[in-house]
Amino acid sequence: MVLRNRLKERRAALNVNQQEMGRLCGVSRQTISLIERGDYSPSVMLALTIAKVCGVAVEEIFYLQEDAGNEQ
Amino acid sequence: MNNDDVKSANRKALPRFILLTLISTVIGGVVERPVPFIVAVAAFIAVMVETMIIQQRCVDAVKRMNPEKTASVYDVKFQRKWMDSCDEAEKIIVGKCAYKAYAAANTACAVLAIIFAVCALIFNTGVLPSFAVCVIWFVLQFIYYMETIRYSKAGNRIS
Repeated sequence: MVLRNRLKERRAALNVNQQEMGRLCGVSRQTISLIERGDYSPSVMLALTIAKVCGVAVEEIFYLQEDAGNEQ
Repeated sequence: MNNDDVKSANRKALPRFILLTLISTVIGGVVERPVPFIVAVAAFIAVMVETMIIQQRCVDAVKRMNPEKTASVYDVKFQRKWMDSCDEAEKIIVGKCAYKAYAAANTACAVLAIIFAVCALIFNTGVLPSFAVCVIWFVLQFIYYMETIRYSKAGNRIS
């Protein structure tokens, strides 16, 4: 299972850039970029903060997906 | 500051770094041995100042890219303030890099301690080099295990 997210879409819906999103969530622009690229899995605290900033439930942004490589 | 600015700053900083390194090397290599005490002290201070300037330049570059970071190299509590200004992803990166550095330092200390101990036996160089490396090795291990005990008791509540 891998953690996926729809942060980029949610951020676009809010019409804010990564810098502004980072400021709202209390993290750096690089961290938002890492999360959006799927290179970093945020802590529960940060995931909840991001969901709160976006005004949605955390499951609407972050979800688990079957890892294609593990199906063999 | 965009990537082009960073690349431009790096291109400007590199010749200065090479020049400072060359000056240090020339001072260390040209001066006749045994080096007079005052020259050795002056060279040591020059290298320390050079290191501080390079560190300051690096920190300034990072601060220009990340305005939320405000810690100054000249602050006594620089390390703590810098870590406080890092978010969780940056702290994880620091932790992973620090662990790699710790593992490499451990290996280096083990190898150097053995080499110096063998040199002491064969070339009669004395036990001080091996002892100094062992002290550094002990400090590394001691701090690592003390921090491990602290974190195992309090988890991530320790900042």
